[in-house]
Amino acid sequence: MNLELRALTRRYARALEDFLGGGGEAALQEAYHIGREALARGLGVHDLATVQQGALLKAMLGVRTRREGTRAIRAAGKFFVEGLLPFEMSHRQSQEANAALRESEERYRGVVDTARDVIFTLSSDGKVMSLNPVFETITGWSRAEWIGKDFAPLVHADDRARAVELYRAALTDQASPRFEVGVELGILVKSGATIPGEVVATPLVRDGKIVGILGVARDITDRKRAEQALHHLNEALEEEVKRIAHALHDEAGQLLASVHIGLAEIARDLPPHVAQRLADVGGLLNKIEEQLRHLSHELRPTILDDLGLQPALEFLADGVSRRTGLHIVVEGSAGARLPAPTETALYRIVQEALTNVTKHAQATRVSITLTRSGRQLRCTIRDDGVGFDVRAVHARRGARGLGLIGIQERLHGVGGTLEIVATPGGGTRLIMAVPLEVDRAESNLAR
Amino acid sequence: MPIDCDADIVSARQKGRELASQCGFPTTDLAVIATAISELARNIVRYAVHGEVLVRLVEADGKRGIEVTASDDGPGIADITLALQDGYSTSGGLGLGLPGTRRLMDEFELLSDFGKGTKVTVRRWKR
Repeated sequence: MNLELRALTRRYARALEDFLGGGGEAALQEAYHIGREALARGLGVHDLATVQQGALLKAMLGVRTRREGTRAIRAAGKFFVEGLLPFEMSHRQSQEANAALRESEERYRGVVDTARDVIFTLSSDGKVMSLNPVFETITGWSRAEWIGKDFAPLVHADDRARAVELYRAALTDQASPRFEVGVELGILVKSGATIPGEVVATPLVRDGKIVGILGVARDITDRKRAEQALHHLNEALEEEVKRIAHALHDEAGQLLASVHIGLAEIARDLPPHVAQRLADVGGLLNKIEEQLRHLSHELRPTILDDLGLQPALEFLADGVSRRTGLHIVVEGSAGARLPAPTETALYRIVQEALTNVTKHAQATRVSITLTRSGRQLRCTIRDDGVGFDVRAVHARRGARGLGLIGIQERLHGVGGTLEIVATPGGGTRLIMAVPLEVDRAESNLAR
Repeated sequence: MPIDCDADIVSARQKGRELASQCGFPTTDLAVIATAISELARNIVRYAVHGEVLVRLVEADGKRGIEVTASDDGPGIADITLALQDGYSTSGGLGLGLPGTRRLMDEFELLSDFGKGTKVTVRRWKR
């Protein structure tokens, strides 16, 4: 018996003696206090039993008659009940806490079991520890086929390096903005096909130590399909625009030329003062022709194909400026020629952005800045207009959010990113970054 | 019974035990009632300095039982939900104090107006 227990036993025995000597309620309360103290010191029920045993033995040593013996045993029993009550309260607390914990665990289980995303855990050596039921629905694999196995073969070979990178980052708890939004990985399913998945991962912490990762993988087949459809639609639109530009420029232009010749012939047969009025009409036709040519160039500028992004943007800015009165400058330099899809995408984006500025911004000045740094081209469009609430506009995505979805899709198509800095009343900045040499891993995203 | 000091707690326990014994509660239940009185009276001495404990026999739906009411004119409890959480105040996370008393008894009511004192009523029915 240790010192602490021995001291408690002495106190308990003394109280029991008091009780036997007529100490009454005060002595019983002392038994209760001792129990309370024992609990507070981290002692257990077994320790209290030891104390009880010791005190009873001591009481029995002073017993002379059978009657006294019975009394002592009864008193010790009462004492034990008093001393145990604090433990009883504590025990009921644990029971309540356990029930609450069980309930919370059941709720968690329910969420995991019915989730439509795959929820998985991996050990610190890359083994699959757990998978929820939807894994079987999505992949066709049974969970038993993968539990305890290395996770890597589940990922398409092209994406495996990035999957490992994501796993390591989560395992070392390195929050990287690159991984925050989720990583797109091809997941191999039982049929042999690959489905696109979006995966996020966080460290799995037990007793303050990272023991693995907890991940959520979403089947984004539908989203990919929609993105692809949008991409095709954009391509089709580009073709259509080309056709209309051609019709405007070449066909309408030729017709207009014929009208000119016709008019000139008529003018010859007319008296001079009437011919002069016809010449005025001819002047108007010239203006129409000029406008048609300009519109056609804006729609599908041959200048973009012939001279590149910067001259095309200057041409576009000039046209919009003349039509709307906006003061637009094109600054910086894109450097050498860019891949055709990138040039077209950026041209269309600037076009869309300028339309937004004209329609919504109430701006007077716009600047378009191109900067090239290494393998990246940045294009910033800044206006001094009324700005807008970025979150609110993003939230109403369905309702043609200022053409931002279109801009984002076009950027996505060439591997670029978009950042919008806007505050109500404080102007707007669209900052786009496009990689100039799209690496293989990135191009896989669009697969 | 007025509760002003630790000695008053002992007499309150004794009264409670006597009354419960008259009602026919088994010995172990007497200890439970004494414990409830201890925990409630302890709060009075600790937080309110002055208060009182009322013990009486009650009857409802043909059941007989004992009711303990502890009231004080102390500062009251600002946040009752918090006071009933384990680890708050005296119980030190061991499940004693008010939450512990609630778990020992069959019924538990707590009324507290911040600044106007606290009234706790607990009941235990004979089985």
